[in-house]
Amino acid sequence: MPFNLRFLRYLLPLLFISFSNFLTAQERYTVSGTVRDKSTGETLIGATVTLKDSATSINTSTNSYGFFSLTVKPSQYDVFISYVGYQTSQQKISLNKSTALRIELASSSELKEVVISAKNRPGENIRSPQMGLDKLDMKTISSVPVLFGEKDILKTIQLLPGVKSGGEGNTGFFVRGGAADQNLILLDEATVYNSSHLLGFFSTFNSDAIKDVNLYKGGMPAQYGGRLSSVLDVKMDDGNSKNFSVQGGIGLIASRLKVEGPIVKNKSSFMISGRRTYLDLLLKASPDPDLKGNTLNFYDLNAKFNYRFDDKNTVYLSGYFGQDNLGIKNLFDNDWGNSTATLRYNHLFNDRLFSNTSVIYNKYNYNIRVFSTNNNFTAKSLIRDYNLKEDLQYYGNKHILRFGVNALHHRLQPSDIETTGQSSVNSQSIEYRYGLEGAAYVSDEWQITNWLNVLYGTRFSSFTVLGPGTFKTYDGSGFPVSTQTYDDHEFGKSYFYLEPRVSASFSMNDQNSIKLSYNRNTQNIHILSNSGSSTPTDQYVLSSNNIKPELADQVSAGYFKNLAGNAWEFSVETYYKWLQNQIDYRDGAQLIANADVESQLLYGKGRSYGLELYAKKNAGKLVGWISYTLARTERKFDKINNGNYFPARYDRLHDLSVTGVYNLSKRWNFAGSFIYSTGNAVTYPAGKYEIGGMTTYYYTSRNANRMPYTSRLDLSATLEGKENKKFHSSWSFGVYNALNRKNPYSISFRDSETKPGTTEAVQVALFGIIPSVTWNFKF
Amino acid sequence: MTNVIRLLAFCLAVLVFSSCEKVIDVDVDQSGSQLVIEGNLSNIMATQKVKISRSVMFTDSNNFPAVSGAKVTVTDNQKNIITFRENSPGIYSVTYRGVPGRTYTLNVDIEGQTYTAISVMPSPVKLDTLSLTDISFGSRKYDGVIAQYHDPAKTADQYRFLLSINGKQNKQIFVANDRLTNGNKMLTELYPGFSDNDEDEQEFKPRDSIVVEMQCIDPNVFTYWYTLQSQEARGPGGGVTPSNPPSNISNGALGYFSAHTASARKLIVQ
Repeated sequence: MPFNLRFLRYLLPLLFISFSNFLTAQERYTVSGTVRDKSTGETLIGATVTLKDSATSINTSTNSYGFFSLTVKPSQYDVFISYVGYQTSQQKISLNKSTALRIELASSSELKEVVISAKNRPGENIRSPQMGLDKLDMKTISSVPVLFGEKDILKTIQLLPGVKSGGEGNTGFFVRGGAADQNLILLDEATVYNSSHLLGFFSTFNSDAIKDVNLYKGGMPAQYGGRLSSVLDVKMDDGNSKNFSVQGGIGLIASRLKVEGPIVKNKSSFMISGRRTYLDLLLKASPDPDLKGNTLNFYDLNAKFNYRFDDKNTVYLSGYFGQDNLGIKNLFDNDWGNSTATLRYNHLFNDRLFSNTSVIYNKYNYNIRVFSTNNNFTAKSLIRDYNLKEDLQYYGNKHILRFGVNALHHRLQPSDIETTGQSSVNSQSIEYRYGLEGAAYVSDEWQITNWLNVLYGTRFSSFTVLGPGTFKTYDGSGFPVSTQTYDDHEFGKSYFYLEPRVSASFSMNDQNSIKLSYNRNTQNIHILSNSGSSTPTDQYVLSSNNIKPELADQVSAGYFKNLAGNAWEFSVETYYKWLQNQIDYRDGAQLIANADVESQLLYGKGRSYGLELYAKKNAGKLVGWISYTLARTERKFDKINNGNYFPARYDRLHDLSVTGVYNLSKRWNFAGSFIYSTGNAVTYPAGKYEIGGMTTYYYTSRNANRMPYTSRLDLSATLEGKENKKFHSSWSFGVYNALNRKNPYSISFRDSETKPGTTEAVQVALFGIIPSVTWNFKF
Repeated sequence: MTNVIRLLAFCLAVLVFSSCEKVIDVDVDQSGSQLVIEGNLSNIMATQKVKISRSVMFTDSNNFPAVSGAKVTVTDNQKNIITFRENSPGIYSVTYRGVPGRTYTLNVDIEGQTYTAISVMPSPVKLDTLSLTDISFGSRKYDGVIAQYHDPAKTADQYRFLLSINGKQNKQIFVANDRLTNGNKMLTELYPGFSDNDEDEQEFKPRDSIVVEMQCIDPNVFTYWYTLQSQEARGPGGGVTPSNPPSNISNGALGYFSAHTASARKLIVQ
């Protein structure tokens, strides 16, 4: 390991220097405030605030609640507030006392012009020390074509560099060589364990209800923790606090409806947004007996309520509930879903100290019911978290200090099996598991000079196994060597880690910067799946005496360049990641409903490295981006592949995506995306032999072969309805896989029927060309 | 229970994927020929066989060369030595009856190399009856056979089922253990039409003769078959990452040696 705790010796003194800076600041005043949308009252996250006088120019951006604070010398300032898709606001203030501003920005769509202007767009991507961050604006997401015309956050992030899709029919995505369970997916701070519907074809995020999406692929700020590879931070709309409004869409397989409005004007608002597929209604009506009578649907509901007591105190209550149902008539059914609830309280202690307190509940569960008389059973599994967070932001002179604490309680119910009648399966319950994660963090974003910005900090994290429970310790061959029993709430095995996080940007000028970062992350909840793909019924386990916390250290470096007044953004990022305590499985591992599941596991390490190229055009009639990733990701386990490194299943050398949106006129826009990627790593047989009268395959090395490449072109067109003050509607037409390419889903081997005495490889593909149409409305 | 889940995965796979299959050319690695030993010893007085062959390259035809001239013996923990003779090329056999509870050691000497394997013969469980069943989803109907037996509560038991129809062996692997079913009256359902290689066996015809042999196998042999079974690539996401199943034979030979008890039943379709 190139990094260790010695690192902190340098980090901590730096923090103290920063503190002393606050103390020596003299004769300065604070400009603070909240930035909102003029027509809806929604707070704007990440809006840029610039103060300019004759000598200097200082910027900051609004936090997750639209708040900003800048402390500067008294002077005459021009204040510019800008945000993508909005008209920049400009005002003059003469600062001779601390001032609170209420700023409302008008959406640029109200300008009645099609071309997105790049003028005054801030070069935030150049200046900010944050790297490995992708921000998506909802406008872009809504125009990118996707399957069945359902706009989708997860599908759109898979078009970004460093993010690999799990492929059709797969729920996961992979960030910089991390596994699918190494992504922290947050919806209003609540963990979403399963982020997809319908086996991966839709995401659980209903775009109508989403305000803001940030994806951290590296350089995770210290307030995030608990997963190795990425943070996908999704924030819901607060609800229109000025006017009552309804919007919705009717599509081929799903419909959506969102209602929002003020409860007390400018003080309190609500938002409720729902979505339901009616695929199964189509199935019921289908004349094809293969489809008739089967269940296949999902629905979800997002709701949020907020109340602003005054400029210093606001509460937010938000929740999500979603469920999938899948069943084959008279045989079985399977349902799964997430529920989350988040209660937050924003408090301004003063114009420089912002506090947010969150109480969070989230649950993921699934049920399998099998109706067979001889072998009937119901298997239930559940994960439930209670999470308490306190996060403080202090806006100093050239510093934004962020610190807080977090306590997270997990309960895992691996498998509760119930049977009725003469079923041959025994009713039983696999012992529940409890764990407590604790964290404290501090970080500082420091504008040292005009050309040097740093974001540095550390997260101190802990994990403790909680009783009650019986814990076996297994030796290297999976045999139990000792057993320990803990009582209710008794503390078992504990782990403590320091996770340093540092990033820095060196701006050569307004258009060019170089950034460096290092971060460490730990993870204590792990998915067990040996099928190489993720499914809703994957098992979760917590760290224990056998399973050590997963650890990742990542270094990255990047070059960022903007051109033509920030209309073009280019970036090159490169990273290397070391992964420790990774999990794989013994041959013949039995993972389902197994109390001794930890005896089936193997532990090893991983490494992943890559180069990401990104070019984005923000302005003009044609906007879009090209992203390319060159990457390797490998794993090493003593008992797999003779102890040699082997490619992870989702190791792909090349990933290319091109996404474009062309705004032809006020009414028509066209969008397209094209992807190409190297095939997944798979294990093909090198030989064959006969066992039990069957052709059996002989394998030499793991994942040494490649599936054929994947490529796909998706297209869409949107026709906006005629201009009308009250009612607005649009039609969306889409074609998924326009070239009708049969992309490989799986490859298997069998004895050939056409050429007896030989074996053949069979490729299975999922989707050919799929057209879609959706009608959207808003009033 | 895991078998039931496999069955469901199969149903889903049939509904979702069946129309999108195609045979493709793939680049495979070439491997040297490996020694393969498949040894079985049961508690039934019958011809016990050890088959020795070699693997071939993937692209070759399915002619697996027999290995002749080996010295094959099995010893038990009562110091009995059973000598196998090569009656046809690569097939070494002896007429013998094994005893449940004994530990058997296979020794194969060939080309100056010795391969050994140990297997403990489990206690026998009787296969009580066979009956017919079927499963339907959509327009598809699959006939199946139910093997009924009582799992002993006192022991951890592993089973392998061999299904043959009109003397032709079905090419699926059926194994089960009693991890979730210990001590119960078992009704294990076997569907011959669920394999790519046996699609013609989807439905039974009158006068079909169905034979099920139920073997009680030891835990290592169960892991061997279970590994192979879970690699069968049907179902969403395909099977688990394939690898050579863990053999109980030393020196890197492929295959297994199983001392098992057997109980068989026959059923004629009306």
